[in-house]
Amino acid sequence: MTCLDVLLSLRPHGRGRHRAAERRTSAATLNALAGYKSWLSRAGYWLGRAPSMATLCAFLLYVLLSSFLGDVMSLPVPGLGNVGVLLGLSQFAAVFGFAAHGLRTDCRGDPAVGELGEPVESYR
Amino acid sequence: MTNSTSAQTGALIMFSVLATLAMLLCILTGSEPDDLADFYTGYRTLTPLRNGLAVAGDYVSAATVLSTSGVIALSGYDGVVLVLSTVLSLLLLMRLLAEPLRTAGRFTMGDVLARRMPGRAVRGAACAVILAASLPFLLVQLSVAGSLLTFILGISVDGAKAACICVVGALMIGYAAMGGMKGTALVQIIKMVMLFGASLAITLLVLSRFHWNPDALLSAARQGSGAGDAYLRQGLEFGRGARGRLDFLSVQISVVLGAACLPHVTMRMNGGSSASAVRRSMSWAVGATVVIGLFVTVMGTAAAALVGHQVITANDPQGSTSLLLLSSALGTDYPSLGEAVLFAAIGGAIFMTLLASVAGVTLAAATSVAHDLYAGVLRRERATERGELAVARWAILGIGLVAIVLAALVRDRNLQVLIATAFCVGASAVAPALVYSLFWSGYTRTGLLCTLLGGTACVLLLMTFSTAVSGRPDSLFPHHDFHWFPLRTTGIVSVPVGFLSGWLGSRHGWRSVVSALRAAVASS
Repeated sequence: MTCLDVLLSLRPHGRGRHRAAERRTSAATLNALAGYKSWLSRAGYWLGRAPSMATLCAFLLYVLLSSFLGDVMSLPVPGLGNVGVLLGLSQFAAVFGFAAHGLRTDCRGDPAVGELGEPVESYR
Repeated sequence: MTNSTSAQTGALIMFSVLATLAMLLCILTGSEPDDLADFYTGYRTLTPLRNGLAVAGDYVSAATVLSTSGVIALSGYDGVVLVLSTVLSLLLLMRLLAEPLRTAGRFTMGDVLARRMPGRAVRGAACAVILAASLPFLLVQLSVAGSLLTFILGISVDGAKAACICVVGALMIGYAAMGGMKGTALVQIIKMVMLFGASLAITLLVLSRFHWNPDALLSAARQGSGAGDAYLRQGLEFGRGARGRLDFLSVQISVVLGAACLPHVTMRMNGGSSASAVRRSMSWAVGATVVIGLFVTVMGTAAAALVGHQVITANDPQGSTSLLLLSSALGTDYPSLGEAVLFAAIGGAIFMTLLASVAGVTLAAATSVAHDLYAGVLRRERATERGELAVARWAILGIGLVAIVLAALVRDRNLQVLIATAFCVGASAVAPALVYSLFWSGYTRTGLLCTLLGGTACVLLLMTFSTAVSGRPDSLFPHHDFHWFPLRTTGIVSVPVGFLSGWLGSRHGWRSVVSALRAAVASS
């Protein structure tokens, strides 16, 4: 197949016009796949962020528990004051773990970041 | 107070050496008069570790170290949760926003917001919000600087506080205008190292004093605070009633969403050489902040244990001098030299913290004025680099002078309301705008303006009529009472308002916002 054949087959009234419907289907499939991939990458991005969101939720739960269930939080723990202090210290440890993990991982290819690309706005 | 003359002389010598050294660094690293990228980002040449320490230096402000240690010393549990929310806020910035911010950003936060929706309105609104968040923060830091310096140097003459504010303000203007992003980064790194060293020494001394037994420290703190078991329960700072609990929740929401979204912190994301370098920098920054946070927690508890509630409140009702009192109390174990060295070390670290925080905030505010307001709005993005840089330096001078005058005027008042305002603007206007514009493709210009202006207006309105401004003995105006908003922080209302107004504005345009406002006014 020469280049001319390709060009002719791409023309709406050209040689391969009876394949138009076929082409449309494959284009639709490709589009759907791309949409699926972008959806997947987005889901992957938020799944990657799930531990930090869980930490935020855990902290808010801790604040709510401290203010509304003070009696439970002030149950004594030998060596470390009470349950509230223990939970607070364990959250410090969790945040430190995130920091150490961030240094260990190689952070190539974050899909959602890649989508942003370079700034589009020309400055001057 | 056990400040001896030798300790004060040591502290004074230390301050002079540090201020000179930092100024020298800023002059040596200063940029050419037409090199905008060097002034705003330092050409992104900092390594991840250095940039991380600079981020942490900008983030761990004087107010964080001094006020939070005071809250821990006086109220225990509430202060520890405050440290935790501060640390967590930087973690959220690292995990959710840092890399997209670096990819989308150029010089200021206005660049990130105007990336998809360029225009003068967006730039102007971004600049207004950045100023609304930065100026109150700057005022608090300067005012704290005044009271701390007079305390360390032991001057009790009338007007000494104003003089100290002027000195710190002049140094701050010099650092920001000469050094730009790179110079202030070096100052931040020195500050972080000094703060780490001094607080590590104090923490080790405290722990060895209590034979490495945390339980002994906690029970001594319970006794010293005079509150008994309530010291390790929520409620000493905010009260145990329904209003106190809501206030506690509101403060934590504002800090956890707002502290890391303040413009001087997000601006540092532009200093990384790539998105992955920013991730590494932020890991260093979060690690350093966690460690400093733990040190502050131990030092605050030790201040309650060794200094005691009465001495702390006698020196400062908010307890911001508790770290210095603790270092004096520890120094008495090691007479003459030990006391002077400890006091000078912690005093020097606090002095650098004050200088570095005010310089960073001034630089962020002035950069926004030059880049967003002057170049973006007034010159319609056709300003020359030399002109914009000159405006940036004049803006540093202008903002610095305004802040010095205001801080000197309000120096004897309780300024907690200002720091709450800064955090609430960060949480209710900046955070929703950044999250929506980086992650929601349906976000529109109207939505962005609604978020920025609606969130900020809601914070300023509610804050003015809150109990932090009037109606209580510890308010900004204790002898007036015009409050109708029952809480001290507006986060619990203004954060949902910020997110909701952005969504409404994007989905339905101005009309729905106006009609919703009308309905709200009619129903009230």
